[in-house]
Amino acid sequence: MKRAMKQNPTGWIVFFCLLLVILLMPTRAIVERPPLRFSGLSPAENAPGQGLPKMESALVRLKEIFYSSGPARAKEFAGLRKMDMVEDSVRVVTVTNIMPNQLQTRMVVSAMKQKIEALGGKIELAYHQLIQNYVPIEALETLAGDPLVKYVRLPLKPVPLEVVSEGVSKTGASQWKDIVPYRAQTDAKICILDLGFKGYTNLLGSELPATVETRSFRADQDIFADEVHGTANAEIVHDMAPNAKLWLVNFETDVEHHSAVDWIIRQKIQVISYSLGWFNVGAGDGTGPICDDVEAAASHDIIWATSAGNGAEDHWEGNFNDPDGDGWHNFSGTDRYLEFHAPANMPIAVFLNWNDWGTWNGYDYSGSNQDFDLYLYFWSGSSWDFVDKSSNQQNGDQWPVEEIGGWYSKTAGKWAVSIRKTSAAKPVRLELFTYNNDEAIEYFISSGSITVPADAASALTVGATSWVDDSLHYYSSWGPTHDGRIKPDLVAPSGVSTSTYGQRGFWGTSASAPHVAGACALIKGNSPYSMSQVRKILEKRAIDLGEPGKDNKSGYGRLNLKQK
Amino acid sequence: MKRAALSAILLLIIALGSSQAAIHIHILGGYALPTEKNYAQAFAYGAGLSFDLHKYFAIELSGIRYESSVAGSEDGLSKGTLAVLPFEVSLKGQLPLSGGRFTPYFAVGAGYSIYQFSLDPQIVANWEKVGFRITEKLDNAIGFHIGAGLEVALNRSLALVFDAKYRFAEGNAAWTMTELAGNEEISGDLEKLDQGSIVLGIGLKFSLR
Repeated sequence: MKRAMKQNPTGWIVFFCLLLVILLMPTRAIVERPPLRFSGLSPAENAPGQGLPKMESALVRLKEIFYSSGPARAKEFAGLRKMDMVEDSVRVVTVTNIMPNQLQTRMVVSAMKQKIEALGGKIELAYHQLIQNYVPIEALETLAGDPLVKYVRLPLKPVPLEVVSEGVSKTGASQWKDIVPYRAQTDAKICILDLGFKGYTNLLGSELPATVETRSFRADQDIFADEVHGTANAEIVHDMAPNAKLWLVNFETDVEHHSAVDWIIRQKIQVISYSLGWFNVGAGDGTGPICDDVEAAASHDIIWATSAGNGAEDHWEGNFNDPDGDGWHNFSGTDRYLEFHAPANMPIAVFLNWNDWGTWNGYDYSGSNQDFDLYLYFWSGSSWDFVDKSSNQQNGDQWPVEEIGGWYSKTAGKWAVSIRKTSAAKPVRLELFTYNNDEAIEYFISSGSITVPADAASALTVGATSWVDDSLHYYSSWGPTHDGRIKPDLVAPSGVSTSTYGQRGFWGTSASAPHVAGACALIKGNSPYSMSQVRKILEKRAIDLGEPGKDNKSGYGRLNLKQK
Repeated sequence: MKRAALSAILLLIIALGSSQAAIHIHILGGYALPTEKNYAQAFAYGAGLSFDLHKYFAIELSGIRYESSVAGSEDGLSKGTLAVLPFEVSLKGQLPLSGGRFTPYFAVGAGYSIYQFSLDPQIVANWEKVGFRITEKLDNAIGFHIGAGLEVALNRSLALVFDAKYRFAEGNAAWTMTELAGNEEISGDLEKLDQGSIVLGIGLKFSLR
């Protein structure tokens, strides 16, 4: 061998180089492989998703995995992150540039639809400047690079705020059974706007009216959507207001939400029961696309009774704090980890936003140039193992949001998040929510923990109390809004019985909102009061809880339909 | 309308002042058939005073009362009871036949009706139980009428009267609903509600000569 090396040294050098490359290749493949579970990489080393300011970082990651590890691995990642996939296409929302007038915007949207289809994409729905579509993964970058496109992101989706109805008696709605309608113009029309109504057909004529109207705004038109949450809400509304006409309407994404609300307004619905919460879709000051839907409904004298949120112990907010100058936010002292516990086999999610949304113009926020990233870790027993990150680029007009979510947790365990400054020149106030954790998060701050659209000025925001003793439930989100308004407006019973959820009961502000929506329908269906008067009546006859007067935990107090 | 009523009263006073007429008193019982379909038929009773101006003409002052159940409607009065008390002045044309044994007559006139509407007490009580007060009021109103009848003399001083009268009247109503905890009030007006009725009666007429 020594002789051979002496005879052809150049050949051996090439051989060793090739050997080295071969040996390193698997290692590089592991390095580049996305951290589908635990990569063991430090966050600093792992920085995919950077450099594409017009695409959400999770999509950048998907594209990278597609090219580096193939379609199967990309699909695995998409499944983990709960992305919607059809073959090699991913469902996205293409946000086109806002043009000076609506005609131009429509032309841009029309042009973009053709471009998306030319890229092999499929259009599902368009609403103003938003196009909900599928696009092949390999065409993502081309799509985002189009000059007509402002941003390509995953569809925004709300979460059910469930954590059950003795509330009928507690609130006094049962005393209304003998009431003869007085100058009521019509039966009240109430819409339960939710994600799905699985099992509702089995309850018609018993737990629900004999007939209900249904409409699905999902791309697949599936009113059931394998989700019982809406059905349970409809049960409570019917318990509260037995004569009200029910509309069961479902959707899945933000674009579908806008279309659904436009349709609801045209149906002259009077009350919307809404037990969903959104994260990272607004500045928390009543602005943003979902809050605008609430305001549009309110402008047509529709009461939008919405859950406050279940995040009182899943919420943290505070100023970015980096005393040691390492770029990482310290939640306390030198602790850069905010810990929480999550159960097995549940998708967990963490949402970060900061107060640099800019101005809301009715279509979009002017955006942020303060860039922070969000990191997720799992406790191995001895150390924090990096799991995933969200690194959307904020260099001017992007939303100040980061989100990590997916089916990470096959076993119950301890998790943590960290926040790192990428590029920020001014002090910002960070806000963080977790979802599906089963205990209070470390350093939780209940104040300001209401979710969108509970912050909307016209929303009738509802917190949760025990139907037994009126105590505020630990999870019920607190106000104020980020612009300092007191929320919630009312609190209502939770933990009540429904046929849908059976023995375990229906918990959460999800259960509370339909009590208030039902109360609105009960008064409206029996009297000539306008919806704004109905709202005032409910506020004035609420049973004050906690601090005297309206406060950020229980608003005006617990829903009360009895004579005060 | 008020001017017409005042004119009628003035005409009556002038006529009475210039007449040498006999005075008659009558009492009447009968049945009121409201023209508004949501009002139930009701027993009616009344009395009146008339003065002969001439062999063929007379002036009559009368009043009648009936209390009708109201079924309630969206654009009318709600369920309850409506007491109607019209005071009327009529000019009567009469034609004594068979030496005054039979006197058919016709009448035309105007009047002022007093209405008292009471909402169904059970409805009111149920609303009060949940903290709401509801009220509804029908305004008094001037009305007009035409009528016809037949007097059958039983003797010189007493006659049997068969009377039919069709009353035209419209009334305005107002309703309020007040939530007692916050005093949140809503109110509305109901205009030109049909308060017409046909009253068929039978009575006795006493003549004072």
